[in-house]
Amino acid sequence: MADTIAQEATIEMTSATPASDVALDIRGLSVHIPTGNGTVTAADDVTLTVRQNEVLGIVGETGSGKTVTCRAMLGLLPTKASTHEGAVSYPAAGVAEVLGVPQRDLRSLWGDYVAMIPQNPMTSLNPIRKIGPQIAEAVDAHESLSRTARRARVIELMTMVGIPAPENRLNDFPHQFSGGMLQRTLIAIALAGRPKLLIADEPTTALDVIIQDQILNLLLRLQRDTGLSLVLVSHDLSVVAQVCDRVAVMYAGQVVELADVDDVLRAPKHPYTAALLNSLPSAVPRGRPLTTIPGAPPQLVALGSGCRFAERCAFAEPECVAQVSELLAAGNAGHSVRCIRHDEIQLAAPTGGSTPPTFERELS
Amino acid sequence: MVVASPMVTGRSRVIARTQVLVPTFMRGRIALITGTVLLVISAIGCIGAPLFTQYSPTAIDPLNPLLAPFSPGHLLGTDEFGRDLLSRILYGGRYDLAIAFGATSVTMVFGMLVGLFAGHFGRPFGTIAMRFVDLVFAFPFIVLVIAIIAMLGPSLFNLFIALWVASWVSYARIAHGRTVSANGYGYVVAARALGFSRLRIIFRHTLPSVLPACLIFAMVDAVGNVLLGASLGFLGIGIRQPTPEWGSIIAEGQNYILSEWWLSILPGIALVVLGVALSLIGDGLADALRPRDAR
Amino acid sequence: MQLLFYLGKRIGQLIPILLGITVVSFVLIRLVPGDPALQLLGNHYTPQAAALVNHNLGLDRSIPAQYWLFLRHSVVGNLGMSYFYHDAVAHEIAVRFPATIFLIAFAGVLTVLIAVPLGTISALRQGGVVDQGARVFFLVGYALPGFLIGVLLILLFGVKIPIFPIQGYGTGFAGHIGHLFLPAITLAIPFSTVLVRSLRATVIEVLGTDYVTTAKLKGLSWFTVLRRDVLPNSLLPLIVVFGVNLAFLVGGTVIIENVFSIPGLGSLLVSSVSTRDFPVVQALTLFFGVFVLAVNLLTDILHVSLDPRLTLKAV
Repeated sequence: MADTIAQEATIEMTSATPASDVALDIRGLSVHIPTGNGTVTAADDVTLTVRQNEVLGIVGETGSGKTVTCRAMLGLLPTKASTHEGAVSYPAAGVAEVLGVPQRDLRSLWGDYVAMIPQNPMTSLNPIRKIGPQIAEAVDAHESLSRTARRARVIELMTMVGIPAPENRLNDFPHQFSGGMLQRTLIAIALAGRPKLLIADEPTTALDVIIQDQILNLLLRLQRDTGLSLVLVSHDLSVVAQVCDRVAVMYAGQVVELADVDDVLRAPKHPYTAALLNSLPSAVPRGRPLTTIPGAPPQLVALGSGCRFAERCAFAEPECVAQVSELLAAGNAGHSVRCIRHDEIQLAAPTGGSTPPTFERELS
Repeated sequence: MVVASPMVTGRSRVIARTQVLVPTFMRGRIALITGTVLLVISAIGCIGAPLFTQYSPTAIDPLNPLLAPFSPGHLLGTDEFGRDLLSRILYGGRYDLAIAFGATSVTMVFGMLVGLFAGHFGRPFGTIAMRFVDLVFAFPFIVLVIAIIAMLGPSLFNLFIALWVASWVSYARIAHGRTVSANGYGYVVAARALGFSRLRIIFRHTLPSVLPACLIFAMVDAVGNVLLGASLGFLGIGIRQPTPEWGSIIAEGQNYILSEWWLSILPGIALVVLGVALSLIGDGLADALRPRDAR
Repeated sequence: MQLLFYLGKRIGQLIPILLGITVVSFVLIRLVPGDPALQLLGNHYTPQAAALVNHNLGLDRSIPAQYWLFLRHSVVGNLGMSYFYHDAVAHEIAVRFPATIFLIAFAGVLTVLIAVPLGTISALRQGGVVDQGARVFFLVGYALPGFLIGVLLILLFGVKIPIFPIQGYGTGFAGHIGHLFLPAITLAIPFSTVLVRSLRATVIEVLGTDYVTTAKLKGLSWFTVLRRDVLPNSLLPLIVVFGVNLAFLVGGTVIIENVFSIPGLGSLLVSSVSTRDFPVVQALTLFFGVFVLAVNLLTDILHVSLDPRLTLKAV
């Protein structure tokens, strides 16, 4: 193992890179939400970084903590009563701490440094206002332009995101747009302030597969053209595989694997990641039944410190549950995994092709 | 109640009733208990009036007019005819309670049934029935009630008739709306396919999702009915003197409001207490019966 | 332009109900036990006079014919003769209509002025002082009978601290405002209860929507988001609530006009019950029914024109 740090230690993901190169830095983020049934730990010790001009993908099922993490990236916590530990910062902008800061102070960052593309385009625009003014408003918040200049900028943004004949659509209302058009509008709004960091929270989940492709390609193109950092959250590994440089896999509120995209796809170290890859329809030859992961994710209340995937894991041993589960270095540089058996088990790599990969599991 | 696991959020509600009737909210409980306690106290006071006062509410005592509260023998004083105010309030409460329960329960049951059947059967019966409901709704409630009383003559019974005629429509609308949306869940069609009789479907399957909303509205309606009865009494076109009805007592006390203010204010307080009690019960029910959201 | 078509369509839909209202009003007077001729003639009753009266009132014809007569007369504004005033009912109504309309409008304005700030602040600061206070205030306010509020207000502000006149309608616009302020407030208090609850719930819902989040994330000031996104979307459904509950307001004027001795349609209705002036009661029933229908129609049109999603659907 090309690993210079002791296995018991948790890894500092930002050690090698100069601070100003990092657009987003999340360290040890935990978010606790009090509910009627106990305190839900929606995110547990999440540590991630995104460098400039980098695309990070976050993959996980519903309840894995990816949405909470997403919101935290903007400085938003789920409810007023939530508590948190850890820190979220924007080193490239010199912003030290974003969580727990009152919203009126965060406002200068929103749209200007960081922007979000929401999950549901159909409900994310004011239904009783025209599209034009809603985009113009976003422009206005960050630049002072004359009316004509602003109109031109709005049209420029709409063209950038691929809305055809934008001049004719300025006076339309959201319900007159299709889902894909709405999502493009939201991307335009997000880009209005020329942000350096874009957070896309499942931007294609609510859209048809064909549109999905178009939006993803659009995002990729915009990222390449402007050099901004992009965080793409999805439950769909194949989506993430198309677009991202690095991938974080989340399960039950924790990051269970973090690596470059190629490593994740070809040499995953965590059984959950492997299982996800296995469960892709393209991983199975035609005519064979699809593979699923048996069981269900755990309730996020009062979980122990052991591995949370253990009860569904084919490789689980008693130590997995007994020992504290931490993120450990594994494989190539920058690859970490939350599995104490990662060097004992063999998750064979697929033999080639870009997407989607297939591979088989071997028992050690 | 377990926070729904993400894996099972896709399950649709097959039968609505079991999820609805579980009270859990603390706030709802406080309102419910307070309201019920107030209501029970009022009911005991009014129905058991002879236990609390020895005077008849209509007994005139020309020797003791306009006594102040806490005068010997008259806890709340007397009016200009010497009639004991406490007994007038307690006996008078019977009428308002009768309106609150008698008028409201009949209209609720009738309106709910009409709405249920109209929603279940659809055309043509349903449409005609709901058109009729729309028609009754077109009139302001009080105007309709007054018109009916005008024609039939002011009395307690005619007031009941007027309320019955005018009030059932709200329940019909609520029940109809709920039934139609419940039909959208598909379990009605499923039940029909299984061969259940229409009556059984209506009463065992649809009714449980309709009943809570109607019950909650019934509380609001009861307050409205009581106030209406009191208002009409106040105006002199409802229950008339010498029958002690709170509204008419307040009206009589108006003349003395500057000096013997208790004549109007105390029955007014009684009205408010009854109204608040019913409103609290309604609020508590609304919280308790609200279907729990799965997160 | 397209809205006019919609208006026409809606009026068409309402015709059956309009007819229904006339039928109900017509039937109403038939409920009266006893002989109308007896009513009218009183001590001068003779069979011949009665026959004449019956003929004049059209009571010797068949029921459908009577209804048709009633309908024809109503449409042209002939609503019969008042037993009590010995005057055309339509005239009595016309004379008293302005006071009632003024009162309703005034009450409506006050209700909005009370309900909008209270509802919005309650929702923005849930559980705060305003929210709790409003809740208690309105719990009591709804249970408090209008006439009691009226009596108390007269006592406090009309007599003890004589700021406002306590009866009548006044002359001139300023006079109307002065005379109708107390009655309008009396109406506004219970009515605003309903609106505040509804508005509060709507604002809370709107605050949780995705589009408000989008607006916030643009980096706009909270005040701007409130002004452009939260309030418009919250007030729009309120128009519907207002319209639906307008009948409440109309009903309230009936009582309040009596408490404050305002010469409007409400006090006419009540006095007609005591004087057993059935033509007036019938005409007022008809009138109020049509009036509420008209106001509901206007509310509907207003709502459709203001909500772009509905405007598209309607036309």
